[in-house]
Order: sequence, then structure tokens, then C-alpha cells
Amino acid sequence: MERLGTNTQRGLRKIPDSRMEKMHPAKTGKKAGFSFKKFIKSPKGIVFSILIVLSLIGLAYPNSSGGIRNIILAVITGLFMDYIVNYLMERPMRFSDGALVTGLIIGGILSPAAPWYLVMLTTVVALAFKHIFKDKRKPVFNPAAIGLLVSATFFSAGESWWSGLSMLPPWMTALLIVAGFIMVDRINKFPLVFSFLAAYILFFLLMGILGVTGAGDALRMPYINSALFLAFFMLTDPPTSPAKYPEQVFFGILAAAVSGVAFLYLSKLSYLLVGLLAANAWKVLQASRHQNRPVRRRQMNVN
Amino acid sequence: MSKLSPKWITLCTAAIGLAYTAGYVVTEPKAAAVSLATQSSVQSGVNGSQNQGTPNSQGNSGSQGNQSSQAPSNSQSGQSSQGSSQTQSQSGYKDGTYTGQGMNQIGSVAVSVTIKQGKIASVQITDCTTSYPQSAIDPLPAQVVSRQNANVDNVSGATESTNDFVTAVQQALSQAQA
Repeated sequence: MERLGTNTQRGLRKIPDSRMEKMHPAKTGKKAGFSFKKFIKSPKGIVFSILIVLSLIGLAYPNSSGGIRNIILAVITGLFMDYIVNYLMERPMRFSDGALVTGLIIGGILSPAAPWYLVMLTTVVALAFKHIFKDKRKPVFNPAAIGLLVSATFFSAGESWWSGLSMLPPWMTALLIVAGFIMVDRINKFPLVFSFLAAYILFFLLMGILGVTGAGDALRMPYINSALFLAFFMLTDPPTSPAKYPEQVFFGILAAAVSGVAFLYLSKLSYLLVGLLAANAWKVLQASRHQNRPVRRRQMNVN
Repeated sequence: MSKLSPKWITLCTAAIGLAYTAGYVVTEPKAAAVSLATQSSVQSGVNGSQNQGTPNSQGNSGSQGNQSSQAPSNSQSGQSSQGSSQTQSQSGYKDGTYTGQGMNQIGSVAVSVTIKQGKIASVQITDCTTSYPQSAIDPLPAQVVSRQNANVDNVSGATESTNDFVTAVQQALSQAQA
């Protein structure tokens, strides 16, 4: 928490926090160029492309006309919010690809019937958490997940995960899996996704064997589509998930276990978000432990 | 870090696919059993006064036991007037507690409808597994009681949940009329 506070203060005092910003202070405030070609080849660009395709397919659901409105609203709100934050912090006024992806995810998860102000509120909360809670310039929590959890908990915002093709015939889930595999292969997060899905399925299989009521629902539509969408596009978010394989495996198992318990005892609406955020918190704790280790060694050598 | 080899990806995908199939199959009979238990408990609710002396009517499965144990109003209505289950009111509903379930792609809503003296006395949402919060459809049971039918106002923002609720109430009322 001390580091989080320091980062917030650093931002508020306008202290340059990257080496490049320290070396080239004059560049701060200038508009940086945006290359669409570069963006589309980047991981965020691929997520953007895949989410656009999935959203277009998801629109085949008859009552999903509001879905496209939600996406546009969330994306515009997100871009505007990041623009304002960059302006206030005197950061380079560059195009916020992160806000673009966050907006796409929020618009694709919220119910198409969700009121416009809740879509905007969810996006604002998501990006506010992204800018406030940071660990070494990276957001601690998945922005979309924290925004959706807040809006679902405090404002009863409906979620349908329609971009996960949850409202379409079951065979279309194959498209989601193919798209997800392309994405996960690009960012090298297969261990994370496999461990999450395996733990998720085994948890509910065990609950089913034990006769826990409702356990089977988690393995069926729309919940299984939500779990796949979360695993492919939210759990694997590079800044908020670990890179090393062993940590990826633990991260995935932890997210699945917490999600499973939350499904049975907390909320069937936001159980996946709870699991993801718990795993995000573990990742930060793990990182802080790694940082502390070399200091101890030095102290031991001195003694 | 080197990427996972295609061989491992295929192996893991197959293993997860198998685990999923096992989970789907294991939990499938439970879902079917619950729906069967719901129907049988409704029937035992209707004929509760006639089946009072038969312990076997409760003991087929755990879920059946839950269904019959969670309906004390069944026995109450049966005790209050054994003849009331025989007297059918002008609305055509028999006294007792009936359950119904509405289901679609966003999940399901289950209700429990209690009929007293031929009228809908109370409606309870016993389970709500839709992707929308249950609070959205909380006012609907009161509408069913006041209007004495399943024609409720559509809840803006929770149309699918409303449809599930209406289907569940209609299912319960159709059993009350049978």
C-alpha cells in the first residue's frame, strides 16, 4: 500500500516516473503520434480486433441492439476519461488503446438493456481504479473487472456477457474458443488459461458429485461462456497477470477457486470478477515479496 | 520465455475437454432430477391430504426431500381444511403450494405459488440464476397477487428475467388448475 500511495503522490506531484520521461522532460506534454498499423499488431490491437469481431457476431441476438450503443458509449467515455487524466497529469496526449479495450470489454459484458448512465459510470470507475491503484506504472486490478464489480454490487447493473456469445446457440461457442486461442497464443498465456479452465471445471465437477445444488449451471450457458470470455480476454491482461509459467498456473487456479466459492456462496452475477480480482491482488503481493528478497540477501552478506 | 509447444496445447485442450464432458454429464442427471422432483412435489402438494400416511413419498432423493420439507404451507393448507383441496373456487385453482420454473439462455427463475381458498395468496421467488440481479424482478410477485394472474409489467432492463418469471408463474398456475 505504501508503494501505491507513493505512485499516487508521484502522479499528483507531476514527478516523472519513467526513465524516458526523466531523460526527456521537454517531450512531456507534446502529442505523441499514433500508428494504427503498429497498434493493430500489438497485443492490445489483436484483442481489439477479436473483440470487435466477437461483438459483431454477438449482435445476432435479437434484443442486442443496445449492445452496440453500450460499446460506443463505453469506448468514448473511456477515451475521454484517459484524455482528461493525461491532461491533468501533464502526460503525453497519446491515444489510449487501454481505454479502447476496456470500453469494448465493459460494453460487451453489460446487459444491452443497461441504462446509458450505468455504462458511463462503470467505465469511469474502471479507469479511475486503473489510474489510482498502480504498481510500478501497471494497474493492480483489471480495470474492466473492478468497474463491472462496483456497478453490479452497488447499482445492480445487469450483465449478460453477450460478447462472449452467451446469448447465441451453443455451437457458436466454438468461435469464441478459436478467437481466444489466437489471442492467448499471441501473448503466451496458455498455462494461465489452461490452469484456470481445468480448476474451474474440476471444482464444479466435484461440487456436482457432492450434490451441491446449482453446480451444474456453472458448466452450462451462459455461465460457461462468461468463464471462457474472462479466461481468454480478461484473466490474460498482460499488466495484471504474471508472465512466468509457474506463477501463471497458480494465478489461474486461485482465480478459479475463488470464482467457484463466490458462485456458490456470494453472487452468481459477479463471481468471475471476484475471482479475477483476488488473483490480481495475489499477483501484486507476489511481486512485492520478490522485490524484498534481494534486500534481505544484501543485509545477510553485510552481516 | 518460449511458447508452449503445439503438442502440449493439444494435450491440455483434450484433457480439459474430457473434464468438461465429465462435469456436464455428472451434473446433467441432477438437473433432470430436480425438475422431476419439482413436478412430483407439486403433485404431492395437491394430493397432500391423501398421501399423509405414506413416508415413501418423501424419500426418493435428497432434492425431493428438500422440496417437500421446504413447503410447510402444503401441510398447513391440507390440515386447515381437507375439503378445501376438493373445493375449487371460481378462479379454478386448487389450494396448495405449487412450483414452476422459467428458463432461457440467461439462466432460470423458480417460483413458489401458494393458493388459498382458490386465490393466489402468495408468490415467492425461490431461485434466480439469471445474469441479472434478482432485485430487478422483486416487485413482480406482489403484482401477481394483486392481479390474480401472471400478467405482470415488463421490467425495463430485465426483460428476459421477467419472461422467466412469467413462465414460472404460468407453469405453477397451470398445475394448480389441473
